[in-house]
Amino acid sequence: MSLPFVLIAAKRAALFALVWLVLSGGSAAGLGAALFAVPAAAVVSLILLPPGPRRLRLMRVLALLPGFLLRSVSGGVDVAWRALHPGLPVRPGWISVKTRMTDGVARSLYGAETSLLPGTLSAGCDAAGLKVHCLEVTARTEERLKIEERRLARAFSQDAVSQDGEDGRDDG
Amino acid sequence: MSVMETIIAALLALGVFFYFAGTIGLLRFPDTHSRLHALTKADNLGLGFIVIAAALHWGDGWIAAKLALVWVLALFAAGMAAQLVARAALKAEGRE
Repeated sequence: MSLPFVLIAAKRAALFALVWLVLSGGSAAGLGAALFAVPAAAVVSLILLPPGPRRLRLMRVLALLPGFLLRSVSGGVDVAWRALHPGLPVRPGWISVKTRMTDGVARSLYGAETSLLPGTLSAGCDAAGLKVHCLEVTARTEERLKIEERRLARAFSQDAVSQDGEDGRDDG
Repeated sequence: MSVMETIIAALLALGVFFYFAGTIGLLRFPDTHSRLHALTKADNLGLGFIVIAAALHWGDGWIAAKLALVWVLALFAAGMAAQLVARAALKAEGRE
């Protein structure tokens, strides 16, 4: 076992310990169970989601969180407005966005994130790129998705954006 | 009604409003994928407001942390589930 692996395992265990602490409301009563549950959760997480080539930095994710929450609020307001508007201002369309998020975890996160932003919904990818459903296709949609991609890329230890950039991959 | 109770009631009303709007969108939007937009985005916001209202009502840090955890997990699950349903719907339509 290499040192980075031990470090990752320790980090995940710390995260699960924090979740346990929150769930138990800070009470010490269940400490015995936590001593079993926390390592078990860490082991299962390492099996289900082995450390990838690019690691998500927790602190940077937390730094992105406020901005993301604000934008997801505007996503909710936007869709509520469209739903209640008498004229139903929805002109759905598809766009294909070349994404440079090449590994699975980064791409799934990117898809999930854009699905919560105003007007866009990711539906997996094909060779042409990420398939994005839009409530209204505007000139700025793709540009906004690119900005979001750059933002999310900063949350990874290495640049999640590969150098050549255009290697589409089908994981559908 | 105290000021705090008024704030809590207003937040709850906002939360219910967004759930309501999401459901209206689910009924009115023209296709499967547009309906998914309504469900994921509006309901997340609705849950957010209700979580804040509940946290203020109990006024306890641990409960607030637990509610925040619920919201973050729901947000994450909604984003992932929306993608999977969207992809499955595309396949069902035979466009892939």
